[in-house]
Amino acid sequence: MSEKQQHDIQVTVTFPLAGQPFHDGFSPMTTVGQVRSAAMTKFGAAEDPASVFYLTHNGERLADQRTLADFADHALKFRLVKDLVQG
Amino acid sequence: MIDEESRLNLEADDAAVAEFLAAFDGELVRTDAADGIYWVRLCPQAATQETYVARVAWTRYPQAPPSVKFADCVGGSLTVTRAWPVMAAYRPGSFDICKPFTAEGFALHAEWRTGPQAWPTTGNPFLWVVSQLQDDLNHRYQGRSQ
Repeated sequence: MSEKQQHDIQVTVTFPLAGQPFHDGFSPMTTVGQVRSAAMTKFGAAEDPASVFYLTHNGERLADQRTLADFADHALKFRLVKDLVQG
Repeated sequence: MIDEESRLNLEADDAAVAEFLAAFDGELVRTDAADGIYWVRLCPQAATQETYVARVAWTRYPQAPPSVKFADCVGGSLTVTRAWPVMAAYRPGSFDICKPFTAEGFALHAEWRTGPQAWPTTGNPFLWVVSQLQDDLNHRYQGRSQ
């Protein structure tokens, strides 16, 4: 295992409208927004004027600017939320 | 009464819904396997003493959105204003949720039937509906309707 792999944080992102979760390794300094973007690409989810996407961790809505190092040093599980803003 | 395929599809998806709800001190209560009706206990993360009961009624799963209404208890009345949380697009006066994850919302907004707001049939739409309710309670909750 390389030094880079040893320091990666293994991230899982679930999304109710996707069949399978997203899994990948990221450096601790990766932002939440970068993980969200990678997961959305995998899920085929796209931004649109009527909805906002964000990640949650233990129910807490996370700002895109935070880094993975804020939460854990080896593994993390997030949930991708499609927030329907209209009504 | 729902068709057999819908019943089987719901059975395949409802365990994930129950697991999700348990993580937020909620509960999925199934009352009748044949009618497609589920009763869901939910509470806002910031006000766990405030319990709400939503009735999620499916007609065809996953092809059509469910009717979603709040009740005063499991199996109870769907026309009690105090059973509803105060949140944007949740309308206790009309007993409906005007968002593109309910049958009531799509009935009011035909334009939602196509484009980004169209009803999704991929993954686990039942979990998506319940997570919409929970996320709204977690992040948009303003109290109980009077």
